[in-house]
Amino acid sequence: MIQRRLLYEALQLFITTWLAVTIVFLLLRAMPGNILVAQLEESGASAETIAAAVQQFGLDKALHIQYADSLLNMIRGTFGRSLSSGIPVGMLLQQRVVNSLIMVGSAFMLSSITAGLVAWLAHQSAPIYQRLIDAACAVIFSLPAFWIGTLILMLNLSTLRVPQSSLLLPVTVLWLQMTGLILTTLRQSLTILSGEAHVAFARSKGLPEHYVFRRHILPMAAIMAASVMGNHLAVLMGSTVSVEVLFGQPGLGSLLLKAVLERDYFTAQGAVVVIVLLASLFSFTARVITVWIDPRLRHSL
Amino acid sequence: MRLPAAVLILMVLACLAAPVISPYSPDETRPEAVSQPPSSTHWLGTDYLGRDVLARLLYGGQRTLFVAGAATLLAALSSVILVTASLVVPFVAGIVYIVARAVLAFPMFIFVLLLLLVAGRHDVGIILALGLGQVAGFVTLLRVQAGITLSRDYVTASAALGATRQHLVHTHIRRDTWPTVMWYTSVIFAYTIGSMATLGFLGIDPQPGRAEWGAMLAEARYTAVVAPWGVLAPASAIAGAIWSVQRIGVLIHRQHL
Repeated sequence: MIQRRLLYEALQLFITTWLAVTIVFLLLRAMPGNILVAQLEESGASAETIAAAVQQFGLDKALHIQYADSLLNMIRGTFGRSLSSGIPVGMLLQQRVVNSLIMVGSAFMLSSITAGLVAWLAHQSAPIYQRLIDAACAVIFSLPAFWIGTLILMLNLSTLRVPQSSLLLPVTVLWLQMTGLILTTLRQSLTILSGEAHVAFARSKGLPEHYVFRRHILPMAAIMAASVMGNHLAVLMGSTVSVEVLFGQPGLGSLLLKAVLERDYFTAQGAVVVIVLLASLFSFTARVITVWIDPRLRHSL
Repeated sequence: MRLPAAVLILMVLACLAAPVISPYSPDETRPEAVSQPPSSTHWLGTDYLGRDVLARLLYGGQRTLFVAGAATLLAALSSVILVTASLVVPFVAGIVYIVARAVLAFPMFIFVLLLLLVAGRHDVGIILALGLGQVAGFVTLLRVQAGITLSRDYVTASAALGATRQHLVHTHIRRDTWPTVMWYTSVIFAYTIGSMATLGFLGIDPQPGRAEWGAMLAEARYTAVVAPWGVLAPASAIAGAIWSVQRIGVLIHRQHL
């Protein structure tokens, strides 16, 4: 059963990645021009030099052969070289992946803790505070990241004066947003769960509220939050782009943005593959965690 | 519901009445009036090129609200049609959900960026990109909601009495999913307003240079210390629009519970 499940997951991962690469391949080549030719033309290179460079990158071959080459390269784990700088895409990706993982990962851990604590505080406090917290979360979560980022940047320029290059500021923005999201999900599921029969039973046994919360309410709420976060963490890897641009941090999102705008084919393909793989990895991990918390969900993994 | 609705209506009216409210053109640069603080001539001051911030805010708002509204309508209509079709015709359901799953695994930002590049350098491109980017999530949500209704005993009873799928969709499912449709439409509207601003902020607006809230914020952030009004005006506009839309959605949803 488990083997079949894993096989299915692998198949789905394969299809998604393949679809993603194909879409990027076709769409980027459907648009005229690319950075390689543009750079050479700008520097006044002769037609022969340009033709030689195009040939060197294999861009003169028929489209279907280029496509097959791209796919074969990817299976071998190489992505070719960047059209704009000539650096192997694998090397470009390496630095970016580490940077993105550090940013998103630390923000995620911080916000899980914050969300858990605030949810516990809200659970105990008066309805008016609960509504205040809920409203604040909803607004923070739905504001675009660059909005929060710009205000934090302004605050930093005028009072805080944290060095621009540090990861502290971008992580703060991501932390605020993720806390908003996790907390919203947690609060919704907490409200539903507090009315459940098994919770009422635990309370009527005379168990202290913090025990009921920790043992009977929080795990179930965490399941719902985990499945939401599994999808969102993946999305965040790509959409941290405005935070990366704002704070000048090199990450996956800004790499992909630049590559797509420049039609740097190989970099764009590599970045998309890495983002889709990470996305699938996160949502799979989230599902494994859900099952670990609640074994009854095993068949739905 | 009164306050958020009032804020939204006020914003829409102000943006529509832009030529009446502000005598300035949003794109007219005036080197003699650079980075001026709010005054009686320039209610919200001027930016680093001497353009009137209020005029840019209002004309930018026209565009943002129109594009986001159109994208939201596109997303909502096509999702409702797709879900209805897939509830009635099982064959459609298979295709719709396979495609929806594949799209959902794709980070939204890339999806929108690619669609935008293909759809062309026009506002129609943004509308298509932002709208279609939301369909997969919407369809999945509605399908789950409809599934819950279909599993209810009274629906089973109705089906056992000989009610057709069309009839069930028309009566029970429509009534049960309506609040979700309204609420999620508001979520998408808030999200598209934010995305539109993000596109402007990142400079991938297909019409660069045109007044847009996110782009205004991006340009003003370099002079934020000497001219904070340039940042605060578009920032409050974005926050106000998103907050009111989202609040209205929550309240509509709550009324139906």
